[in-house]
Amino acid sequence: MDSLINETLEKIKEQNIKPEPRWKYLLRKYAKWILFLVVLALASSAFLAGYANVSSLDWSLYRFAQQNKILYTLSLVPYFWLILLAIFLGAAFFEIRKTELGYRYSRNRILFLTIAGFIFFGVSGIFFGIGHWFNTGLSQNFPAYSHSLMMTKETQWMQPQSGFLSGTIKSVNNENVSLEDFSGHDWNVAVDEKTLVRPAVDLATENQIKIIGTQKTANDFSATEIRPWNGNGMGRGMQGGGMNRDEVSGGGVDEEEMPSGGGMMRGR
Amino acid sequence: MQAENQKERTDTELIEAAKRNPEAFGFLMERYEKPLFHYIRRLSQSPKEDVEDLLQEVFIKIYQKLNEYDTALKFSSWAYRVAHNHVIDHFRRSSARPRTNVLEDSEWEKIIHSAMPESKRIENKDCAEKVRECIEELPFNYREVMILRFIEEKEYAEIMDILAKPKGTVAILLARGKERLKKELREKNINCF
Repeated sequence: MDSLINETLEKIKEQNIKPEPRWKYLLRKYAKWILFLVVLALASSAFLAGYANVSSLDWSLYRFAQQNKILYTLSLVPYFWLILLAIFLGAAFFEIRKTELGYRYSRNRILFLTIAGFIFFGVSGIFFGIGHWFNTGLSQNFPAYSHSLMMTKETQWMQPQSGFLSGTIKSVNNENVSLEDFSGHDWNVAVDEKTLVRPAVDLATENQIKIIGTQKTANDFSATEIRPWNGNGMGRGMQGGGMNRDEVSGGGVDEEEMPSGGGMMRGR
Repeated sequence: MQAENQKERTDTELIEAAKRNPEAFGFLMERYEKPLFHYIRRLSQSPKEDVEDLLQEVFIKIYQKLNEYDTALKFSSWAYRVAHNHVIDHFRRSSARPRTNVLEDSEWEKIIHSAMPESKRIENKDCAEKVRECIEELPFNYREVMILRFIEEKEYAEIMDILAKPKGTVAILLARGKERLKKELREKNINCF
């Protein structure tokens, strides 16, 4: 057996075999930790994007859509982001196990590290507006995101056959609003004295609005309620879309609690 | 005299010396030659010549990875891990599975005793052969952990470090391995004890 040791030493010398430099090992070691952190950052981003999506939706429209509240709520859950969140959290668990001494960590320790990292990236993500960036970026650049993967604010308010329409005002006259929806289709929206126009709505050209009503023909829509694009329209001074929904809903007025006279009837 | 001094040095000291001078690595090899040889033999179930080839490759790999050694581990555990991974890689590369059972009688009896503590020495040769076959048929992941625990007599913490698996996984593999062995013996109606 001693010959094996001698042979091995000979081989090492003859072939000039050297120990691999330590920096290569450290690079591999830290790469695993960086991968863990990247996966955690993605998990936090998925959570924030899901939250941004959820907070932009109108959760009370089931009354107008004549749907069961629970089924309607389930249809708005951001499953796409929830699935990604679960995948990234699972990957984070396995990534930490793959680190140098990861197999020694208890489940509690891994849970603590994962939650701590998740919160850290989550708070940083809120600061940089990551959730909103992901949500709007995907909505605008990947049509499949809002058409197939998610119920976004745009898709929620682009269902004329269900009574929900939105878009940009092109012109306004006494009984009609000419509207271009977000897919570029033109609509004649009939507005009469029974139409509830929320206080913050400014029916002026270029303003964006949401309408609840009934589709009459391929181009005609009858409005029963008009809201500004951002927010529920109960506050004041929101014209021009300068405030986002979060700021408005933070005012504490729930749409379901709104008295029927919360807006003003057109023509009164 | 110098050799005597080297033998008294700790593993960590020898590693540091080996990084500068391969001769010092000879003393480390001397220290771990037998344990690693037997471990590779038990794990690979290969003939002596093949085991020696594998052992030489393992030593060279250890030498190349010296800077990778983390003092949080025992050197022996780390060396066993390198050997374990190398044997697995070897069989993966050559698409060969571990071959004939080269466990010695005393070794496989230790495994049997772990599963059936009440068992006594098996005198009947036919029966002993059948029991040996049952051990051979155990899946590799159960057998490797049983070899480490019952033949190499490693502690749980060392097995974790060698296999890089969490303690719970090691405990599950051991329990399932023993259970599987008992089941095999029961199903084949082997009752030699």
